[in-house]
Amino acid sequence: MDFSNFFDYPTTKDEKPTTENLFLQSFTPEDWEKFLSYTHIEKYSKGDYVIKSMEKDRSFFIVFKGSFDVLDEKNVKKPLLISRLGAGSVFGELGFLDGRPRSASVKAFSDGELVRLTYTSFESMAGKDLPLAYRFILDLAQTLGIRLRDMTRKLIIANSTGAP
Amino acid sequence: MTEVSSSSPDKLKLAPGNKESFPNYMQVPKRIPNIVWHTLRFFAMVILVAECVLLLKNPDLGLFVFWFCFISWLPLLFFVAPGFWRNICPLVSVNQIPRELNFTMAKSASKWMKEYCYLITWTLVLFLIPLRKYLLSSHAASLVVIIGIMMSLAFFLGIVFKGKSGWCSMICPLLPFQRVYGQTPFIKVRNYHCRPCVGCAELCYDFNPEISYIALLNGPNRFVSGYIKLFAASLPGLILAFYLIPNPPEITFLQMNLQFWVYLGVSIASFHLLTLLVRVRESKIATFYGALSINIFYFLSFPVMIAKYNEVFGLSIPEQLHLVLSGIILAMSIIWLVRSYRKENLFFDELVKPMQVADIEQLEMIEEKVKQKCMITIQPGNHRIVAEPGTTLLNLLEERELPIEAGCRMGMCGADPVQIIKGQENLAPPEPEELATLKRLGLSEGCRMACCCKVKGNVEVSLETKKSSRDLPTTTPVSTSVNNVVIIGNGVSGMTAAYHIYQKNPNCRLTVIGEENHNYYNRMAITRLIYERSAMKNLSMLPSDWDVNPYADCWISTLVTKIDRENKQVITALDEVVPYDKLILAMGSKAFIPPIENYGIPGCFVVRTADDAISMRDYIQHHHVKNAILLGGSVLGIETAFALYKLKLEVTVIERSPWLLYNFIDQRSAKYLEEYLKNLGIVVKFGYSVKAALGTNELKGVALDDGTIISGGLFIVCCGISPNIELAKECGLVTERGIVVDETLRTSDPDIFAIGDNAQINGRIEGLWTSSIRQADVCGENVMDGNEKYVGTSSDMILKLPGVILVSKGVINPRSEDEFVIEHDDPENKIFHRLVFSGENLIGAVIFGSATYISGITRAINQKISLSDKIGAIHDGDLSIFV
Repeated sequence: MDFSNFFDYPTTKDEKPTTENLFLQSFTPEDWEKFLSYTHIEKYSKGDYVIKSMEKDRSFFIVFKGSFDVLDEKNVKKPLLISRLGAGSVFGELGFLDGRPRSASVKAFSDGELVRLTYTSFESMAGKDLPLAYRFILDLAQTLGIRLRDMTRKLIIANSTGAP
Repeated sequence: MTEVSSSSPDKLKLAPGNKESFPNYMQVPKRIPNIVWHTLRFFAMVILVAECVLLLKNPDLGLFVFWFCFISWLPLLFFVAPGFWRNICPLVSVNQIPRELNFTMAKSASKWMKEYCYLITWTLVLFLIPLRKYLLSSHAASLVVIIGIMMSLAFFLGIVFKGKSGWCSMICPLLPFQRVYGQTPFIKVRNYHCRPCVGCAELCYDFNPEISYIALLNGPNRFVSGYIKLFAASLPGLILAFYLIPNPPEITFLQMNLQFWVYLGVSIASFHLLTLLVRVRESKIATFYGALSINIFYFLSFPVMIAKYNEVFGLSIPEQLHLVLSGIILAMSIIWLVRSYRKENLFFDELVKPMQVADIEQLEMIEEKVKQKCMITIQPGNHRIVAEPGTTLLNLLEERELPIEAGCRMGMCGADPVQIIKGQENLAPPEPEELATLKRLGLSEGCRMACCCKVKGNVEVSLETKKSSRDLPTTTPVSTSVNNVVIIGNGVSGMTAAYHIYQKNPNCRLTVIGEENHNYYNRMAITRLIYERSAMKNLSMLPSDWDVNPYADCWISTLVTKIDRENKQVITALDEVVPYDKLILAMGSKAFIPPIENYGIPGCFVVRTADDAISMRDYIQHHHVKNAILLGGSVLGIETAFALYKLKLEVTVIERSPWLLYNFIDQRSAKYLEEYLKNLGIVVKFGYSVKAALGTNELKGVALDDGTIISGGLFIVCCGISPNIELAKECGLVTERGIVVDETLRTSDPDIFAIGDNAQINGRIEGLWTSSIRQADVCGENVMDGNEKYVGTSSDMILKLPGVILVSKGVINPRSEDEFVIEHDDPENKIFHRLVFSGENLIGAVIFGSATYISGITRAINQKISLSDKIGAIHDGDLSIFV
């Protein structure tokens, strides 16, 4: 466990890869081109919902332009901002993998564009280009593994501080 | 997590994950040259030595200078610019001598030390504050001794431990004050003295002062964060105790200590009470206690300080000034508190690191493509999707997983209507088949079939088609002799024929008798019933205004048992008698089942009707089926295999022929299809047939003709169709494989027609949705005394799975020497075109993997367009004439 890169002491820098949560690191430009051919670009205006919590949608997204807010809207009057995503951020990966209803909503904070990979498109990737789909999933699993570690850490924090 | 409020949506100015929002000391710009720091540090040392001399020579003045000119101002210095003190602190200087002169042993602090140093420091503070009260405030020599002890400790620990880990970052009694007061510095001073950083302490205060405290408070070691909170909780009590408890000898040493512990206890208890009652993170309460402490400290110490200054310097500062000064401290601490809380929120936001793609520049390649693309807006929902020109709306909607049904993909079945709101001109114009379907379904102006809408510009469509009343027949009825038509079968052929008859004579009594339990539905989509939850919803093919304006009396769940040709009536199993002038037999077909031993035990299925699909889904759920065996690699078989794959079943397809869709496609495209299915986990075994179904009460597996046993809980037979001809046979109509009809679709009885899967024309049973529609068109005319001739429909095949389109049209293998084949194979993208020519005409094609040329190729085949001057270019791989 560490507090991410807040304490990257110069002496320990070599031991800690700082790019560990970067997704699709192994993709070459050719892979990217192939991958993107299975996706669609969608435009959103400020305030548009991309996904709503509890919705049954199984797409995977990459922010291409603009900012998008991940919101916990369980309390309708007081939505919580979980995070704000900028270009290059990835979201929707959990629903994409497990097919369960969305855990949070995502709303456009500004006008923006997203790259969407629907599950159907992923299936066509798997059918047509299995090695690419395999690498995509493996990379996603790896990145999620790292995130799970982060979350475990957060859980420990929450347990030890009684955070709401 | 941050609450979203409309007033501060821009709270997170920096993108999360950006560590520059909390720069460490190496990222803070260097403003003051090192030489200045060296000098200041030297002077601080000199001043301390001079102070010690003063304490010994002139204790009163020495004590005044030490406590009231230095120590009283330290909390404020920590509050405003803690880094300044860390750079010049004489204890740091002493502690770092061994390192700078290179005689430190540079040991790392043990785990034990790292954990308990916070408690040691706390204990030291608890010891020093009462000590000050009864000794150090008044006894200069003791103070010099304490200073000496601390300096020596700092020095010796500097010899043993590396960096500042022995003293400054561990047990210096000033450190906890610096942490609490200095958690959000007003002025961030670059650390100049750790040269270089050796990473000696965890969550080092010198390395990143803004984060250190909050990271400790929320750290993973709950004991460490507990010690940190303990100090914050104690601090207000310690300060109050220091100022409010009388000094000995006014009370006894014991009394003082007891009172001291009461103050401490109350302070800690109040902190815990707040953590129990206030719904904020405990670290926020700790920060609040820091702000509270500095206010209490200065509120109580300013009057004392003013009195002392007046006394020593002979000044007459008004005592009320302390209120002004305390007010300033209060204002500063409010700002400090707000900044600390904001920082904490930002800190937690940054802890949740959103996943980022490694190479965002790669996304730019989309940008270049976007310029040539079309913007498709889909309502409801205002989805704005960028599409490539040439994409059909149906493919786009399917890929995007928006609610759309699909059927024949040729505009004939009517399963996929959409309403074009804008950009009608940016779509390929409708062909006659599509127009006929739109008319039949009673769709309003602006509706199109999504499968026929190739986009070439911006388009806005709605998935909610407008209902309009169907065009009522305007022509005067052409036939009055036929006033009572009965149609057996409510599938596509029966219902389409009914529509035509209604168009000819709206007054004609039309009875459609269906054996199935559902009204006219999209039979081509029944495999979706296996894996989708919406059951029959969306599968209905009745016109939108059917409820108010039906064109036929439709009976469902009704079995016709006899045709009484003599009395021109049909009789149902419930002895209902329905007379007719003309009778149309559109009874379709049932699944053909080859001889298989033991077939029929629970777990054996065919896929012919919606109920077949529904009961299969039902069986899979009730019997927890995990693997399925499917006999027959037909379109229906492959679609069913895909449906079972969607339910996560392991599927094995048994195919007798050497490749899939043997009669429709060539080996090359079959190979691509097989590879696609294999990638999804659907295995195909070629050259085998099933000999027996295994199991008694439920299916356990099947035995192949070579004796191989494949285990599985579900066995599905997709071996083609067997026309329903029994009724016709019994009443004496001429039948062979099907009910024999002439080219006007009349059976051997001129008042009885047969169309669809049960009709045999020129020895052939066409058995396709498209041919059923064409036969119904002709039959509808002829029932009303017309004399149209049916010319046959080419046996086209379309298979659509996610990412795969496979089309077969017309002739796929040359039949004579005049006929030849041109093939284009793109293994990289798995796109394949096989074109069969007869002289200058295209007579057939197999297309795998690309929809670009399908409509062009179809047109060339159907309209027999002469391609004599293009064949060379086509041969060289240029298919652009088909765009």
